[in-house]
Amino acid sequence: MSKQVPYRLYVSSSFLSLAVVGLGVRLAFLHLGSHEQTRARFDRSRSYERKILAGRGAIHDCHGDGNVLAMNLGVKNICIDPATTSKGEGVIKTACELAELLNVPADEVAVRMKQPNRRFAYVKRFVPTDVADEVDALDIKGVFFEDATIRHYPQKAFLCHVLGFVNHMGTGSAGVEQQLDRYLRGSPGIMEGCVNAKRQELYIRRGRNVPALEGANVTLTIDQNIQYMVEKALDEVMEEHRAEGAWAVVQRVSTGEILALASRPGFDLNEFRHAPDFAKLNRALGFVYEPGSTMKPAVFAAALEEKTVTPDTMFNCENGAWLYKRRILRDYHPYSRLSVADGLKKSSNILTAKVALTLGDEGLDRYLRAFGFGKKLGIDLPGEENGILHPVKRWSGISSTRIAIGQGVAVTALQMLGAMCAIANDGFLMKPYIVREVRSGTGEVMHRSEPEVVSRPISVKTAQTMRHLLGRVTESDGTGRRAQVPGYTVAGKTGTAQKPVAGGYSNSEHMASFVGFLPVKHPEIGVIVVVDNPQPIHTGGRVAAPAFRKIAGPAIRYLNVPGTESMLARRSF
Amino acid sequence: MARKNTRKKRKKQQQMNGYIFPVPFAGIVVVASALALGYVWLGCQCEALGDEIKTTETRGVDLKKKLLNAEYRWVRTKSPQSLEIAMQRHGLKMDWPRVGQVVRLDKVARPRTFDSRELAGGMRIAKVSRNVMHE
Repeated sequence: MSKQVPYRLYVSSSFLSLAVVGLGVRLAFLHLGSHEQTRARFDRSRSYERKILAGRGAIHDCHGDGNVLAMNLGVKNICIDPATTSKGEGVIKTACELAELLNVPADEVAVRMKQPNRRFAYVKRFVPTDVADEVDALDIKGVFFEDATIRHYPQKAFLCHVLGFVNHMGTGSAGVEQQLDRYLRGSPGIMEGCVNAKRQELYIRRGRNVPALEGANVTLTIDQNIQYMVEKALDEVMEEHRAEGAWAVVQRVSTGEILALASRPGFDLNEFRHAPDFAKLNRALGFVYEPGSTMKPAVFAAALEEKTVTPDTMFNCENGAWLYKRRILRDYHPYSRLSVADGLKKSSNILTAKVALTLGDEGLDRYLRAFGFGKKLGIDLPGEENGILHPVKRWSGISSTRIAIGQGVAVTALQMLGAMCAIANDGFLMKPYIVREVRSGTGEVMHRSEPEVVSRPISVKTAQTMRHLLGRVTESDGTGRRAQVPGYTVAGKTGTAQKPVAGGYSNSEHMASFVGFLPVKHPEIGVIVVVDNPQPIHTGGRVAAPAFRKIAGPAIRYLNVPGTESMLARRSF
Repeated sequence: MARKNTRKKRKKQQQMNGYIFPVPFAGIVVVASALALGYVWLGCQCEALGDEIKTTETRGVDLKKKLLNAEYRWVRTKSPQSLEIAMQRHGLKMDWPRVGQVVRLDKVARPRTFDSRELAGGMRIAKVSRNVMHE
């Protein structure tokens, strides 16, 4: 017995000593040696670095914060643990309940739920929180939620071509989202710190904390109420005339601000991936067309400015058919003699061609370019086209007579409206703009648009004369009588252009348009409506002019512009 | 031999008087303990505040999301299209008054500053004459 005790004591003591020595050696090894890799690994396992995503800025209409057109929305991803969901009975019933709430096929949900070997699957991503709450209320085992943020457009297809969309990488890919991506996207922040054994953040060990710089908010010049009037009118014209497309722009004459810009067909911005490419095209600035008679005001204005004609100058309209340089030019209605003023009112092609000849090729080209044709006006939206106005050296002997009536030249609706607004604005061609200002999250103004003059093709006097002449177009015997707005005088011009096809012009496909402004005396807004291939009626006066009235009438009232019959109250003392 | 005697003496004295803890050492121990406790208490306070900040941060994020969702619902509700649908649902039809029905106040007729008392008096705005514009 007495012999055994020391033996056990020695063994246990030696083990203990060994352990102590081992620990001591390890401690010395860790502390005294330079084990950077081990230390780094240890630090890495306890530290974290998190990227703080910056919220993309919102886009508002001209009224500012109240009317949000594009925003970030907190949504939820509905996820399931298939290993759990496949265990319970009544999978099909649960799948049907989920499918009904989430508007997805029930069989797809059932298949996802019946995967016992998997621990994660999405049922539906980016679900609004109220719908997610309804799913949560079902209290289904194995269903859980993931927070997410998406770019959302509350009014879906509204203003789709202006706003554009953001791709899956978070980069603006069209419209304002693309144009102002550098302002909207913001800058991500970073947070570094330590976590405890449960992987919970230790606040007191928080290191670098650079907050994210939220994206700037953009305020547009667009007024959503006018935009709605425009979109409604375009939808009606598309349906009524079975058109292939229709687009319209409303511009404030004195500044160039775009109050509304719409193009049809449109698409739901929240489902842009499923929209066909032709629907994504912003036709108002990315589609060039031969304008037809809407080109005539620019030619008349040029001739009046150059004083080659006066409103009373008489021209022989050749009874509807004029042979010039072995090519016949026809009028829609035959006339024998017309004054310049009546030629514009009746939209005589022959008279316009003869007026253009008084300017000469160089003169006509110079004025048309000064009116903004053949080059971008520089609107702050992507996808603007130059239009087509060939240099004079490429013109043939009859080019000026055809360009004057809107053939052999292609324009965008924005250019045509710009030219008309220049006439309304005492000859000043304004640069159109759609972004009013960009403000950072802290309220600092980062960018503000100001009205900018592009050129001045005509004088005040010529502009006044042209306003008067264009005002006659909408009189009861003018081609644009259907554009009349009760209580206001309207100036404008109709356009009916045959669509160019291989080897000539189509007899069945047309572009109908109307461009004008109101009130004539003190113009406030300019409006253009273009309808692509309306059927069976195809004239600008019968297709586009009524749409113009539907837009301009409520818009001018909404803008509170006094009309011809407005009562003015004065203090009587 | 002498050291042995001294040790014995001290032991004897301790047995007689009990163990005497040196006062300065006791003070150091007390101060150190207080500091240690203070340190631990401050550490706990920092941790508690940290947790509170983290909770507030999380709540801030949640509230921001809620605000966005509320904003979204509000925007949807007051969009021109929603308003029109709501009006149709209630059988309401609104139209602009005829231009001739609208009476405008020029700058002279309008009160210089908006004052509800002045409006309550009502007489200044009521005394207006009618002039047809652009005639």
